[in-house]
Amino acid sequence: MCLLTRIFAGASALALAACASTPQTDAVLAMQIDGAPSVELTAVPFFPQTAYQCGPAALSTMLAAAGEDVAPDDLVSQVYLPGREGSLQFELMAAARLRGFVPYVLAPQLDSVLHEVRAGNPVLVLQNLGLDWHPQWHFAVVVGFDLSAGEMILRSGEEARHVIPLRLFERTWERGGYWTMVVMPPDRLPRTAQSRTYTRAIVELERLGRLREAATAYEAALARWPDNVVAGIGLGNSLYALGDLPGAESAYRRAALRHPERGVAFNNLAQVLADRGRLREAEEFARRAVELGGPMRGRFEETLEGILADVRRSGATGDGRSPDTAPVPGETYRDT
Amino acid sequence: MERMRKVSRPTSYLVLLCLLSLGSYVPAARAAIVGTETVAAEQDVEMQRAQLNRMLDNEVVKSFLLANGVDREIVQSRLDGLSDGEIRALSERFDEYPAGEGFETLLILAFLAFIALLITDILGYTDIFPFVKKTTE
Repeated sequence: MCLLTRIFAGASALALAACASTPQTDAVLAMQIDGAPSVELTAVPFFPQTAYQCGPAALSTMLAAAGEDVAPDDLVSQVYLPGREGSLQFELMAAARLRGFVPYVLAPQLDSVLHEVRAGNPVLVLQNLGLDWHPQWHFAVVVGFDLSAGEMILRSGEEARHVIPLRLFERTWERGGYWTMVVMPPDRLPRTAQSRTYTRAIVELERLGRLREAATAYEAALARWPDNVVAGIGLGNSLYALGDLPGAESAYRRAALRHPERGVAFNNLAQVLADRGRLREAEEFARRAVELGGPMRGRFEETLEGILADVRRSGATGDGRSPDTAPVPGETYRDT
Repeated sequence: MERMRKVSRPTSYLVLLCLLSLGSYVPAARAAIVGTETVAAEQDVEMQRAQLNRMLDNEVVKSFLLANGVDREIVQSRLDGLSDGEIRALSERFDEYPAGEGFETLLILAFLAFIALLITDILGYTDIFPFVKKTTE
């Protein structure tokens, strides 16, 4: 059994009576099934838990399915809280992030879980196997289901294939606040991902300096949501931080075309152009950003001032404003 | 907790000062680029608040992790992995979590729990004892 600290204890202060109904299961079983009625991801490996460490074991299963083999023991120092004999949900997410994967919390619906499993993504769930007043917190991984038999298949604790009735699953999962997450390799998106929350999840990867993975994930996000401004700017910023200036320029240009009303894209585009020595273009875009203004107007003005200083400097040394007209061999400038 | 916050405040300012002085060594070119976090938080007050409070909240969560047996050497990397919003949520809620019960109450509670859980397991509400056969209704 796995003990665990629930931080959001208040979120599921549910009486036993509430456990009697299983509305989500009822809905799923009553619905015309859209998609396969039974799926089992047999290739998902199993790491049996030791002592109270179901968090590390479940996370190992998720990471292995996403493409990285990490033994639960190697995760203990990152996600286990000895004082609480358990792991926090947030820390499982953090550990996935630190390894370059995108952790994503699903909508609290049984349907989302089924859709993800159908799409080949195992789903990590938080269950309270006990009762509200005597909780037994537990992390397990949903790897399959059979709707005609009304069953859920999990990698759980010491059982590689824990088959439980769907209704029992819903009750234990409801007491866990319907919490579920998937762990995605950067080039794939969850089937049920929402653009805003998913791009935020990628921002965290970028913040941690997993820039290569962040860039890949932003690209994948843009393929599905071409108009997402955070992904558009994020792709440019990740490439810029990686030193890929042509790539960053191209990403910012794309963002500026898609979002001509947002100063940020023009501001960042101006800076990358200045870095590449194309000061005239840089100045033009920096002015556009200032014109568009908004809450970040002050920052845009600073960018413009910096570029104007560069322009004066290059004018004073006599090499003029030629860099943006002088082609560099082997390099494509306007690569939008 | 209140005292903890009082102690952590000056420490945080010190850390902030150190970070700011470090910041001045970052190449000037970087400063002009508006970060993705800023763009994401542009229309989100919650996220902005979490970003602003990160320094102080970090200290609170750090002491929580240390008090729960996390090694001093790795506590920083565990903090780093958490987002501003997660740090915020943890710093606000972890002390609301009930402390452990006394031994006697624990014993009585454990016995009551055993009986209750056995019954609920048989009825299919819980999933505690492997010897109780779980059937699909």
